[in-house]
Amino acid sequence: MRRILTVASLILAMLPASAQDKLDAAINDFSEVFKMDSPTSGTDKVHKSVTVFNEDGLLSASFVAFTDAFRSVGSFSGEVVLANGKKVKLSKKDLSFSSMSLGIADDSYAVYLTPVFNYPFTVTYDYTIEYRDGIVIFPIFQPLLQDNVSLKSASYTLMVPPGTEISEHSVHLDYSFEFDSKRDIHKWTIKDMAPLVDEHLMKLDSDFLPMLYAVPVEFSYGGTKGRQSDWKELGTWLNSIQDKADDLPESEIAKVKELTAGAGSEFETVSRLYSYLKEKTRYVSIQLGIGGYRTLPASHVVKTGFGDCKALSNYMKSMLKVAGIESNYYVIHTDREDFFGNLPSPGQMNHAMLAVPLKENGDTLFVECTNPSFPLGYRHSSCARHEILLLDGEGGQKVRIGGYPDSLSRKTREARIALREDGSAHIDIKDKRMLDYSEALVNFSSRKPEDQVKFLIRDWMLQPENVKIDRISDNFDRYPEYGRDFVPEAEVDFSMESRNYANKNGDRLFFPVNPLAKSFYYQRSERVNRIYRKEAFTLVDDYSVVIPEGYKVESLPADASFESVWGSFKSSVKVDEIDGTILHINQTLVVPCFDEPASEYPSYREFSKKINKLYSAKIVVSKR
Amino acid sequence: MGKFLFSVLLLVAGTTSLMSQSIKINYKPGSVSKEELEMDSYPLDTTASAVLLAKTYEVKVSFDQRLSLKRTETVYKRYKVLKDAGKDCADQSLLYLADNRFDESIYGIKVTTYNRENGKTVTSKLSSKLIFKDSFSDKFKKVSFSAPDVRVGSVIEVQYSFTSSLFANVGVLFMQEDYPLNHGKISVEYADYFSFNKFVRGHESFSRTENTENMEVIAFPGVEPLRFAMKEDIFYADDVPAMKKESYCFYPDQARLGVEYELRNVNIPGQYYQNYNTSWEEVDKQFIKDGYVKEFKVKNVLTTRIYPKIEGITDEVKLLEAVRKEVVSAVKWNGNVSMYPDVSKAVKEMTGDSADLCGIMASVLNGIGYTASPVLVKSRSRGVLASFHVAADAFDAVILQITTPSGKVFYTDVASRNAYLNVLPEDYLVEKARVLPISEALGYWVDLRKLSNNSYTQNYVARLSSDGRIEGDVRITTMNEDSRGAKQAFSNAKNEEEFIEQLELSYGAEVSDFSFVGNKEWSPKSVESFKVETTADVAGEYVYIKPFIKQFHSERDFQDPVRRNNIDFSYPDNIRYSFSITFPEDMVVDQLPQSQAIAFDKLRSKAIVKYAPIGDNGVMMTFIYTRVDTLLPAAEYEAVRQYWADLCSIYNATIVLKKK
Repeated sequence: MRRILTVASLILAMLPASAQDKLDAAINDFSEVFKMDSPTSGTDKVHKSVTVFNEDGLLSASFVAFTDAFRSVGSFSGEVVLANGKKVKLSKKDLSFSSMSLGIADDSYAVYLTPVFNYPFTVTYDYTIEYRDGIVIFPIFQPLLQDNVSLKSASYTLMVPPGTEISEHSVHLDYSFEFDSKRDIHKWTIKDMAPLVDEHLMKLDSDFLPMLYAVPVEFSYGGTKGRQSDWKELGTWLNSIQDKADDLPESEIAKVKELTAGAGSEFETVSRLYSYLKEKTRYVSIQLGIGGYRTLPASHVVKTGFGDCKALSNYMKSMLKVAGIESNYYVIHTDREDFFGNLPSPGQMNHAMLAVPLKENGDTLFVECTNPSFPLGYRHSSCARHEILLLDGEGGQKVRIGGYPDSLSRKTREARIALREDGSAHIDIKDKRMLDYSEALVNFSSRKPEDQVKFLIRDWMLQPENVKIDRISDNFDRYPEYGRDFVPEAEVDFSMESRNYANKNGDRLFFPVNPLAKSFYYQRSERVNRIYRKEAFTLVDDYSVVIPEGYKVESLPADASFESVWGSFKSSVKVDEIDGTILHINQTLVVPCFDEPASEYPSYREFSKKINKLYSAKIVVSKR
Repeated sequence: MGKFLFSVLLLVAGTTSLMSQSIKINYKPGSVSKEELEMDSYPLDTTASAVLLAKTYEVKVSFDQRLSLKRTETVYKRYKVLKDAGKDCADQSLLYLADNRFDESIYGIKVTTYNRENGKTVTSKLSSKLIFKDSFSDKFKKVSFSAPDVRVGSVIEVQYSFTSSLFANVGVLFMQEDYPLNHGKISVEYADYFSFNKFVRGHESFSRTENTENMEVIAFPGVEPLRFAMKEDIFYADDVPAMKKESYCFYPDQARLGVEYELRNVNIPGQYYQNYNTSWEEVDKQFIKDGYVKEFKVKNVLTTRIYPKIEGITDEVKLLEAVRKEVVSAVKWNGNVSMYPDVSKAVKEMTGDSADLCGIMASVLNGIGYTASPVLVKSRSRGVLASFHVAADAFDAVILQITTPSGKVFYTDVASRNAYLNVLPEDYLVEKARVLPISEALGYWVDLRKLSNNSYTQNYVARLSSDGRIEGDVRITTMNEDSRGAKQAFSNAKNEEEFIEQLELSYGAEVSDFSFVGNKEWSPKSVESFKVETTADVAGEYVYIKPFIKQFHSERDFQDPVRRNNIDFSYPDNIRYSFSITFPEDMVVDQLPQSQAIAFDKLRSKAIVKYAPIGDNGVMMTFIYTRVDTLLPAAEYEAVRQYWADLCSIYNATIVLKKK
């Protein structure tokens, strides 16, 4: 017992008491050794010690292993040491498992254990994960998973047969290499890493947290063999495992020919088949065995009417081929714009789509087969500006999808408010959205009415009732008019009542300038990270308020206009010159992309406060 | 609550068979008509993305050929897809118990999609290769499948059967779904050896018939066959609307149309008789017989270790606080709620669920002259305790009733760190909870809804400067349930900074010098205090000031024009908000908001707001809101909605000052 007490005391003593008060957890030691026995097998041996200070740190102290047809948990043991020195042993029987399935079939499971003891406590795990039937990616090393957790030391050792070529992408890790007659030994280490501070307007966590992503250049996986020294080779392997996937049955070939007969252009052919895809199919995920990379054949989609992103893209590609249009299957990560450095590997993508080059106008359509309601010709926000691995006859190539000018990301609200003497109002609104803002209105008509209304009025200060949608319109099918300059736009006209648009106070009515606006968030605490915004946008609110007969304007907020690196804002409220019963309100906010040092945050805070004040300013009208 | 349940039962009894489906269909599997395929909207709900044209749910409790008791369920559903979003009905996942002892399985899955193409009906059947069976977790297995060739316009038929050796666990059979239902039928067939309690729930209604048929089962040649009558209860419902989510509702399924079966007894004449909890007293006896109550007076290493630490504490409340502190320090709550403690295991493993913690604390108290008894609760989020559902599994949680040596009585949930003595999580504030005395006498009911007087008191003292700046001091004192709520809100924030950010956002003001006394203590009271700084709207000679920096009600609460569920508030409210402001001598009051009082008798609720000048340079406002009752029938929805709107308008008040 004395020895245990000593260990516990040492662990807690590593951090000063003040730091322990603020940290959620501390990773004391994390060492991972992957020993590759053959191209198809290996063992991952992990030792991990974590001290948890509160429940927010539990994620770092949890054991989670993902298993599937290629991986399983081998040995497992652990020990929890409490602050008073008591210890609790953990064994494999303490592990639980849960299906990872989001679709109808998936052989992935999470095997997990979350220790629950009074804080603080220290948990130590020793476990192995056995790899079989192929290694296309070595175990990904992520010793730190969350913010507000410190890391004392971590290492990852990759032991491979002599001469095994690897490639890797690492973040915040030091590298060393040694070898003996039996192994090449690659080692990555990190020591004393300060905790990540989670703040708004910052880059993805993956840009900050230490990580290693390594792959064997030559690999065997699920009975296939391939190389990934460059994108071309990786594409060659991905092409090879999709072999014979374009097996449309004769009846479907005839259907495709029937559907596309007489089409006046390549685009029209694609459009007809895209409509057919929408009508006939839907997304259902099936991920079994190598199915994470290999598509189900087109005949499967014909038979069932469903498939995942790979299967639906392959099906569309197969139909296009029958119609005489070549297309390219590609894989992409929908959150990260860039692949990891220049590391060709298949595991860093999470989605498949289809690129269709149009000879007739030189444009390329990036087709979202998983949701064929997206406008054809639009590069949606999860693919525009992203790197992709495009498969072609030569193998594969890394290319980047083009983006759109910032100014096109725009939302406009035009409202006409008829204010009554009791403070209630009738409101008509035209909600116009462009580019990525229009995505929320894709398939909008199909949503439940209550969901439509909730979406339209979310974040409003005003709480209206009897919301009625009068018209939903869009230009989603008008690519042929604009070609490569096509920008999706959608519009919803709706009306509503408000019992308390204005507050009646004696002879006066008080109402806000912009009750539909959402407050601009800013943090109180001192900024630690750079201030980064990836998406630019423009919000325009244009209202006219008809005040009750017999009332006059008593008070209006002053017009304002300001501009900085954070954006520009203009606000004006004018009284109709003819009879003074109509107020015209215009507030326009333009926010650009930015990447500024943390020291500039006070300026951002002031910018946000000024906008909030102008959004919430009051108008007062009183009886003449 | 009792009167609402009663009215539901009466409604069922008085139902006639006048109901008729709005879409006439033949609901025999495979009999999909051209009209069904060609319909493009559901007339009773034109917004529906899909409609359940037919649903039958057949449950049979009987003997199989080996004379083993089995429960089989056969499900048939026919969907019509009307919009893209309705295609989701094609994806089905079914869970069943993985434990082989219960011999559960799902079989006979048949899925067919019907489409109309070129004037002809085309059928697509699901291949058995696309039915996936796998493990879901330690406790469950899963069967998943997805109907083939589904489009807008498709009709989908889904059929499957389920069997289990847990023959008595019929449970709740829901008729109503998230899609509107055109025609539904539930049939429950059982050998007359079984008697069931039956309870219909929901705001819609069934029609009902009963049949009886004589049966015999020959298990082995030459052996006397087993003879019995099969009873069948059939429930029909037509034109049932889709379920919708609503605010102030702990258990939405209370309003979902369904029928609940609970086994009352098994009587095989001359061979077997078992009575299943026909009275609460019988349930009590079973609990006592099973040693349940003893688990709350277990002497163990922890109880003996705690005694020296509390020795010398004479104040009863302080002693209870000390015992609770020692218990949760020694055994960490694992976040799970249960009803059955295993004190020894929890003490050994130093972690346990809510029942374990109650068991440990009761064991300590029962050894030092206090009386701590388990109180069984059916959580509000699990529905209302049905008067007929007389069984141990009617409950899902346990708390403690503690009687001190001086005779004071407290109720407490040991695990909940934000609660206290007579302050319980809102899920446990129920009308009927059953005390099982530690003396092993028979149990009795207690009402947990109004154990303590809750209060929320906020004082805001402000000063207006001549430049329009308003600086003020805010103090919020909360007691009992309101204190629990305040502490919960604080602990939900990631840290104090985030909590203050939320305050600033909701107050529209800058907050400084924040303190929260009592947020980490197991106590009935907490006090938040802070300074706020904001600005008044100044226009020409006028200054406009909003006296409310916090709203206690929101129109968002009751936005929908209609409502199906009863309105179930967490606990009674007692709110006092006061605001005072002093302003420079060169200003005078031009207009004060109107003082007023409004009331809503059906909740015994009222709100009073009074404005008054303080000398020549100040204004004071007091706002008092009380609500005694916590439950309101859905029929009163429009009235409460108007009351809410009236309340919300109070918060928009503005004080107008004028420069001299």
